[in-house]
Amino acid sequence: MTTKVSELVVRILLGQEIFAIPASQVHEIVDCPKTTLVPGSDPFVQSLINVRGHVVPLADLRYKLRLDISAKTIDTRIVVLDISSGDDNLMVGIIADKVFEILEVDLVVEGRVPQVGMRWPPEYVRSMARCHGEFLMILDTPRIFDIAWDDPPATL
Amino acid sequence: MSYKQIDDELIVEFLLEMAELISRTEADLLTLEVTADNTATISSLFRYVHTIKGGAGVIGLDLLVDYTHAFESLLDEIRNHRLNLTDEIINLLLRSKDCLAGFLSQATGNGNLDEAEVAATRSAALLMIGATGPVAVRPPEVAAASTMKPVEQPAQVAPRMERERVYLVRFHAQPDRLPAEARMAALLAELGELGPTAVTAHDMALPAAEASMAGGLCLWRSVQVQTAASDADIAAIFQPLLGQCDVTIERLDDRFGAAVDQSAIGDNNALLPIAEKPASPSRAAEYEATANEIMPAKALPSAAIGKARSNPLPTTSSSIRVDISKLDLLVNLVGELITISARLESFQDLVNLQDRALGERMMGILDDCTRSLRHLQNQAMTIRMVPIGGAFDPLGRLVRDYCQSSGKRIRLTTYGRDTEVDKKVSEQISGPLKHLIRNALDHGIESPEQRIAAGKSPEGEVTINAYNQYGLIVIEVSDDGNGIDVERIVQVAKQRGFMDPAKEPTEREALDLIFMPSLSSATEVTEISGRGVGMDVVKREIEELRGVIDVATRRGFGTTISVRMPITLLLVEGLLVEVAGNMYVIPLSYVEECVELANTDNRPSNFLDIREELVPFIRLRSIFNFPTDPQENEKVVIVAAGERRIGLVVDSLHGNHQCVIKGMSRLHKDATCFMGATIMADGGVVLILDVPRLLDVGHAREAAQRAA
Repeated sequence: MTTKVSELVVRILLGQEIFAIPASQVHEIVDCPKTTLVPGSDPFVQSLINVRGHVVPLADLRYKLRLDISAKTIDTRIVVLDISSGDDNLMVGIIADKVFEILEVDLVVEGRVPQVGMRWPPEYVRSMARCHGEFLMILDTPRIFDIAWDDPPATL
Repeated sequence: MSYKQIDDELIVEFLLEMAELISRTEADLLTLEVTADNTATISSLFRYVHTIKGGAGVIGLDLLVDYTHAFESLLDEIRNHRLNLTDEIINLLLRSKDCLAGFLSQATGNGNLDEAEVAATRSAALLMIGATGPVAVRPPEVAAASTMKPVEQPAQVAPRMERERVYLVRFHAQPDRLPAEARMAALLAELGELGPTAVTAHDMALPAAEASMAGGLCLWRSVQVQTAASDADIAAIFQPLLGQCDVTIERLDDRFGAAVDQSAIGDNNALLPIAEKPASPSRAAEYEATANEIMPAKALPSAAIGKARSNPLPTTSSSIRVDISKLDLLVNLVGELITISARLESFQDLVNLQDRALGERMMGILDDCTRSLRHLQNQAMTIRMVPIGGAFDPLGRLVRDYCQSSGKRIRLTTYGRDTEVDKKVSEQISGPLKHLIRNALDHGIESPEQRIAAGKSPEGEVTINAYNQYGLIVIEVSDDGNGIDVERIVQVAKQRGFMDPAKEPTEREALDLIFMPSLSSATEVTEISGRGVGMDVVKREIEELRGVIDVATRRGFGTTISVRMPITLLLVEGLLVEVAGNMYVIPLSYVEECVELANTDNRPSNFLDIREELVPFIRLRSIFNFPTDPQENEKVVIVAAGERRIGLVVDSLHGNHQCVIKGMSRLHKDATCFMGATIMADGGVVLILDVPRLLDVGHAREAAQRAA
């Protein structure tokens, strides 16, 4: 595995926890639009939204990560991810209780994250970084959405 | 050499063009069989093959150049009436067309080239060319050749590499010592190993002046060969012919075919005529004039070839090829614009409240804008439209090959080839159509003997008819064969437990049995009923195209299978309905009628009496698991796919809408009741119902209810 020194990420709030998503996968961040429920779908992705004329599924990572699901607030945003890889195209919006900032963080743990001390399924965390004196979990979004994904080459 | 390694736009362009040419070639070849006057067809075939050869030369596919060259020569022979067009030749040409397709699929990485077949067809072609001269009418008086002038047109092929040269080998047979044909063919094949060859046999009389000079010689041939080998190598090949023929070898290195080099073979110098070099420009002009005079038939097409080279497909010169994804993007962008203009419209209402005069002025502009956008949308859609005829093209070959192998006599007639459909529909319908035709050939049409016994013409007829109806395309595949043995199907279905043995099915129910997967694969049914091979697959593929399939049959008179489907997969005309506060679109093509639900029957599903026919209905709110109670004054939308009908109970109807279909993400593969979604004018996303799927769900519920 390649060793990255730092990475540009988007820091978001899910439930009570702070996570990060690689900025390279973020297409845009939008306010909460009107959603359309898809009957019969997986509760993890139960609705659709319109993002500039594209119909995009809306996923709730809080469900997948077994976090508290609260009603939307004035801070709630949709982070639209573009995790297309080869022929496998996927644009998906995820609900974030708050989007803090885009920042460059130093990675401290590369590869699989220690299994202990975490309430959420560890396989969904790709790596850890240090940020403001705390640890920050960077989510493995392709894995969460089951996409064959190669990380683009790191920019140092 | 791996064609894959050459990655270049030029190659992509060539392969696209080749695919197109190959399909035209096939269509033309099939025309040859049925048309008496085929001069024009032969010429266009020649042009296609020549264009492929030219393109292959440019990108360096030597093997392909070599191969096409052989067929180009063969076609040239036919074109110049030196070879009669026999069934054998047409067969060979069709086989070689398949080889060309093999080259193509190898180049695109989709398949392998049958090299043995390539070699076989190529040598067969060379053999046929070689077989022409002497077999043809032998001229009355023949004399030894002595002072032949080069009347040959120059090589069309430019040397591929600098060290390669084009040679013109001519040999004049002495009348009493004609070489055996097999021997000639062997020699030519040997020559072919050195490089691409083009053989021309000349059995026509020479012009008077020449004839008098030559003492009336009429029998000679010429071979152009493009090779890196030296003239001595070529001479060696023809060594065995010495004494029987006069052989000259010339090097043709410039376009005009002027003799640059000349060489005689062995010690027989005295026997060999010496090709003269053009002494002056005027002399060269004379040569050309002679060539044109002697071979007017050839002069014209070669002019056409020249044109074809610079502009390979004159008939489509005003069109361009566009990647279909670019068109999709265009359609998407137009959809976005329409949404934006709808937002502007709602903004205009606000303006209206503030300042009425300003609002009205804005409305005028918005109206123009909306109208233009609708126009733009329609135009963007029509760009993707192609005539359905393209999907019919491979079928002619299918029928022909089937007739040859089975001994049946079947004529395929197509109507409505110009009916336009979306390119994607045209591509995807091709597979199911082949299946339907194969069924009609194999199981529908009887053998000539059976047909005569039944009082029919020995030649069976399969018809494909395409036309537009209610904004859909209808494709009907009919045969005048024996029809489907419905009783037998029912009998087997009962035996195998697919149907209640006590039940007497309607004809409709019985015919629907052929679409059942497990039943249709049962050999008894296939053999006896003569139908149902993979019909379940056909049905599924048609449903993927949002179409419906229907069967009508009459024992002894034939079967018609009709397929109705939307002309595009991008747009759908739909009925907007509301269920528990949510909007849904039901594609109009499935909608038969809408009725009020008379009594407040709260059961999740039940039956409805529609003109004395019992139609089951289901509540969408119960299928979608909405917890709320049904409202009063519910409406029922009666939908049908094929002959299956069901009523969908909704809260209210909201009129018709033209929707741009957006596919469902794979994250929503569990939500099978929807074929896609669309964006409404207010920017909201609305789901489009998958009616065939809902029919399955409804019928499953109905069955469960009956059982209970």
